Amino acid sequence: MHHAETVGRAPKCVGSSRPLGVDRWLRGRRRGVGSERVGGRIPEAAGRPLFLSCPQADVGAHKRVREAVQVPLALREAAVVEDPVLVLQGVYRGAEEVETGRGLVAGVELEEARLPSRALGVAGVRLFAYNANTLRLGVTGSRKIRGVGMETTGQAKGKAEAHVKLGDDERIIPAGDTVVSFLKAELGVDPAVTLFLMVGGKRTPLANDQVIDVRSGMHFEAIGGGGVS
Amino acid sequence: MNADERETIVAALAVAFGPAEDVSPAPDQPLHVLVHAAELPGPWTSPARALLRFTDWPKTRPEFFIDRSVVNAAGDPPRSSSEQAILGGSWRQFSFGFPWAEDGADPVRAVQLWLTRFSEPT
Repeated sequence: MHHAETVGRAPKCVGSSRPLGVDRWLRGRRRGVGSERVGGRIPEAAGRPLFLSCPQADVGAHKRVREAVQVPLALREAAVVEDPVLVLQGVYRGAEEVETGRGLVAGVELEEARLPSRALGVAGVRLFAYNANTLRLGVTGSRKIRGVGMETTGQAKGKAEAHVKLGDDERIIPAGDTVVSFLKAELGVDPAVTLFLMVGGKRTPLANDQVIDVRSGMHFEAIGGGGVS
Repeated sequence: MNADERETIVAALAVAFGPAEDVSPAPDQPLHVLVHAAELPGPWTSPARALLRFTDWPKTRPEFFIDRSVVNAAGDPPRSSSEQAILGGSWRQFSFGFPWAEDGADPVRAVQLWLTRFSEPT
């Protein structure tokens, strides 16, 4: 991820910026606007999927290259992102608070944040700040963005690629731990379908919030089309 | 459905979903297949027993029943479901529609389609 090349502008932060513990950050959020949206907490210990999503967002524009986007944000831990249009996956690095001149903003730093660029036609992304209501990110590419979900995992994705199969088609996607909802995007399948992992003919359905270690030789099937009547 | 067809279906389901057996009440009755440990996606109870009843196969999809113990994270069974007495036991049947075509009907795909129901959390 080449952050410097993909971000339109950095957040304007006035005053000091200092490290902030996660618990303190959340306490601060609970006092603030939008605190009712907090459905979980950021894990101090990395290793679990974390979802920061805004499925209701509708920025509704074709964003140009190097344009920063702000979207409403809700925070949930280990929850399914309902039909996200975009899903980001990154590595949680820490939280900090910044004084913007319009009040305190809590931010989360991510490294190696990335979009499923192959599937979505977005070349890159950098997350640089959010508060209780806003996720601000920079994207490159031209894509109508109707909503954004962000997922973090505690382990960095390796740069290795995995040669996998989706049905009868070969796909090359990043290897390593991947949240299934993110994997769907990387495979280019509809978020609403159910992904099955096939091992020796055995089919196992995968939950959206499940994290699997993507490796070469894996075989997936995307099955969907049904609905509760 | 003749005996070979029954055997083929049960074998295919066993490969795809683990141990499966023909539990039909009689050879002249519709094929009933018990899948002993079908894997369901979270948050649903898994693995779980599943029962398939092949009536008028392949013109119609098999009926699918799941063990009554299957619940989600809130402890609730799938919505729009009901209990059914089958082969002397009680099973849960749920409402779930998906397109079905006789041409190319595949029992494994049919079960996969049924299992996609459990991608919904309630």
